[in-house]
Amino acid sequence: MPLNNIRNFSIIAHIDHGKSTLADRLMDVTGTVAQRDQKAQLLDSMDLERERGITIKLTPVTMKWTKDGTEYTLNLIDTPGHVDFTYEVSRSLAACEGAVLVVDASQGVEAQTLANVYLALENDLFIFPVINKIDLPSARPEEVKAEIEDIIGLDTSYVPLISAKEGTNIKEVLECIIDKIPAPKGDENAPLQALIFDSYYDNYKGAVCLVRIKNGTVKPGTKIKMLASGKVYDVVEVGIFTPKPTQKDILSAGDVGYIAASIKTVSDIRVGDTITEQGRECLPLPGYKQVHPVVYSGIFPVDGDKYNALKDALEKLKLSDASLIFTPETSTALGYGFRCGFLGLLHLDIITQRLEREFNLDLITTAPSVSYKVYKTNGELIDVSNPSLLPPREEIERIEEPILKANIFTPPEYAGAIMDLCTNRRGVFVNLVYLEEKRVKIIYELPLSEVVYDFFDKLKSVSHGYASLDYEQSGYKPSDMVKLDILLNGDICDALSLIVHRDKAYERGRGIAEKLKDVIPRQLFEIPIQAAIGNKVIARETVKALRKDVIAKCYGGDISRKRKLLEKQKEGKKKMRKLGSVELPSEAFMSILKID
Amino acid sequence: MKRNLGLYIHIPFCNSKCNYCSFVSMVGTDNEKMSYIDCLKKELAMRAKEYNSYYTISSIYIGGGTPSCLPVGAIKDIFQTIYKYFTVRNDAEITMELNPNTATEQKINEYVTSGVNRFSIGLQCIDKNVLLAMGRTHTVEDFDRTIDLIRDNGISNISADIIVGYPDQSTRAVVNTVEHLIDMKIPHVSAYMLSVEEGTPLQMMLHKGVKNLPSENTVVKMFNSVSSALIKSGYERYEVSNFAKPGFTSRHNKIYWRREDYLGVGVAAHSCISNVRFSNTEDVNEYCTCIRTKGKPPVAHAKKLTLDEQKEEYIMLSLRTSEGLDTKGYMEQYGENFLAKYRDKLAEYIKLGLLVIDSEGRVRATDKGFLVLNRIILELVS
Repeated sequence: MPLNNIRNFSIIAHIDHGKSTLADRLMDVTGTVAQRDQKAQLLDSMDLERERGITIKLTPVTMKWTKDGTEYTLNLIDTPGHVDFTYEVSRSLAACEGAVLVVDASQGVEAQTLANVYLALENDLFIFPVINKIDLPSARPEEVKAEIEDIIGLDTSYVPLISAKEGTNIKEVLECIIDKIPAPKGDENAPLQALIFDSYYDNYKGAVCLVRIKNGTVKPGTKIKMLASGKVYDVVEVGIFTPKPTQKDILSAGDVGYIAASIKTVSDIRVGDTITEQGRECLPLPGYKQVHPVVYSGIFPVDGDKYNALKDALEKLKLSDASLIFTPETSTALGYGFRCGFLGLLHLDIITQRLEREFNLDLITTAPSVSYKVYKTNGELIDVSNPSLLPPREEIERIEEPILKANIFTPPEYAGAIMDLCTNRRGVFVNLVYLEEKRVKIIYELPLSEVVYDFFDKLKSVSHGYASLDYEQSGYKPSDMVKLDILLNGDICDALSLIVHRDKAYERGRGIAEKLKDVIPRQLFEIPIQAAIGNKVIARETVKALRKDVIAKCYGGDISRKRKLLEKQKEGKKKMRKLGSVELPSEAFMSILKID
Repeated sequence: MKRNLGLYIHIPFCNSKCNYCSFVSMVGTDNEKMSYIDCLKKELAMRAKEYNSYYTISSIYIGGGTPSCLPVGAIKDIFQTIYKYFTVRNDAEITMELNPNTATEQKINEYVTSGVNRFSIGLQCIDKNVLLAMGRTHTVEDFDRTIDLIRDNGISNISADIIVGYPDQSTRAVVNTVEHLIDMKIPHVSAYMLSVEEGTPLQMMLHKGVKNLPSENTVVKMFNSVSSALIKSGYERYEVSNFAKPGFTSRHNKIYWRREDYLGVGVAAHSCISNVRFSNTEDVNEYCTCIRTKGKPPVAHAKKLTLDEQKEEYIMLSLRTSEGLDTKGYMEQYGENFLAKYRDKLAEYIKLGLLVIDSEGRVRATDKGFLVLNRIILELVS
């Protein structure tokens, strides 16, 4: 296929503006998938993703469309829509030449619309807008068109007005993709140069690379080399997605498809890495970054006997998720489990939910922590991501915390509120740049620990959803961090300990004590909850003793009812964690995070 | 030697339904009532075939619903059937539930001549606004009149039910109620802390926020006032919710807590015989159809209790009583040392003032312990 007849694009949109519906409709119109095979929103393949309406796993699809007698190959590369996966999104966008921006005809330009547009612009993509949901009575396409021009600054001389749901004007979108998005450039005779933008695990083929071929060709038998990892493999199979994986003889410059090369796990495949031919090597593509976990959290089975089941489940997930890492961990409160590293809180949430659903495990997750560099007085340097492993104060010379360089893009009117937020999060102002009249870039250095929890949500809230964030790790800085312990009935509960900045310890301690007071059920005795730094108690709450819990009537039929109730309560108790004599519900460990 | 059996008869009819009630009951026409009694008599005959050769009846309890809302003659009819098919001990305790405004002189005379020697009357509260809120259609004057009628018939063994902690019920109203009972020399009082049952109008009202429950502390205070007033006047608290003057404890109630055998006859009636718990259907039509067409009682659930379940019940029921859990009896029945098995938890609860162990080796709940008995039992058995 000549390069001129290929278009590589992605669809970007605010959540709910109809990205997945449009993708389905495009496949539908191009006859890519028989209608009876369609489940709603084909691209989002995991149940969890479909439920949340967000795409996590990227599934590309190759479609054919004939215009003016010429057959074109249209490769749609889907992108996830969450800040945890910013890097993955950027690599997917790097595989495209253009993007279709979907804007809801009644909602207009919104938060994520802008955030994703910014990201696409950073990757030099050509963007053209379509206005979706014109079938809605509240549709106001002309106003939305004006918004697109004013707020985003895109050319709106021709904007397809569509209803993806009803299939209106879908062909116009296809024509626009062909007319407006540039064809890929490349040389199929040059050395192989392929961008890995994702990977997945297949039970038969092993780990499979999703690639965009920039230059050269690849076919079964090619000896390929991963430039960043240096690993070498023999290609077993190449193919495209229709959207099912479909075997091909060869992939050439401009193509989007997959390479299977008997790779054992997805951990051997690094998103952003460049694949070349061994012995005839190309230059690496720009933009590769090694992905490191951002947050760490302890995961424990509620039922201690399920430790091995949890281990097996994590190993299985690891096959298809290279960014998940885990090592065994022991807690006095929670027993045996694993300390796991994640890309962010959404990633953590997805993994724990998959563990619970797909492997039928009941889990306790401890509060996420970033990884600190701890310089000990004996000259030793250790990485600490588990608060309970922080050495005693007298053994610590200093603690350094990971710092981010955050770029925040926003319309100027929210700059003030955003800067307040950053200051509040111990941020250090670096710069503010006017990119255009209606778009500024604010640069801050922010401690990672202040960003991982809810910074993104807060940023969205103070900017009414318009601001977007990208960040990169920019090393470590000394910081006055302390270990905040929580004592229940006088005993430290290691699984509730946190590493926090001294200035925030009081507030945090009070918040946690109050929160725990609400989630710890009353028991037959009074339970003091204390927050302490070292030996100094900084906050205290009390869960009062239970005063009344009795069945008033217990005669003939009541006895059976009471016994059933007792069985139910016994089941409930099994889900509680016993810390000394105090019973804690599983959710207590995470609830301490949800504090303002 | 025949064993003792408690007999419970369920009458599922009421003139109106109280807002807090979740028992199986309906208003019912006279025809429906007569048809039901006909089936009840048939079930009595069937059950007698099964049990009469092994058991003598040591107590009878006619409950509901409102048994006294049956037409004149119906109760007499039921008793004649019982006497016809079952052996009833001469000293049997025979209790009937009464509603203060359905009891006429004629009916009470009918009940007493049929053998009833104990009456249990639902007073609930003497405050007329509270009674109205509960959906009850009688007054305290109706109650007093009923007591007089019963005493005129030579019966002194009377029990009254009261509810503690109903929405908008003041501590004053509760205390006045119990003092009224003490003044009236009612020798047995069942004081029930309100429990809100699924699907009742009360639950709806609370859910919608039309009514609010008093706080836990208030209910505890109210109950403690009731308890201390009764104890000061010579009553003994012989179970979580039951108080009696010496000689007036209910033998039938004790069957339940001592896990002795009892047979329930009628719709939704529960039985426990030789560690098998079984119950009839809760649907009156299904009940009658089954009796008539299949010629057998419509048993909806039956379960043979496992040894562990028996032990659990033993703990759960004996701790409800002032006799407490007899560790020697427990050892004899289950070959297990209760004190050793639960040593740590018992020590904890004794320290917290919830349980005591007396010199005879009985584990008993204190007043404070009675109020949190569910939790104590849960902790012990899980």
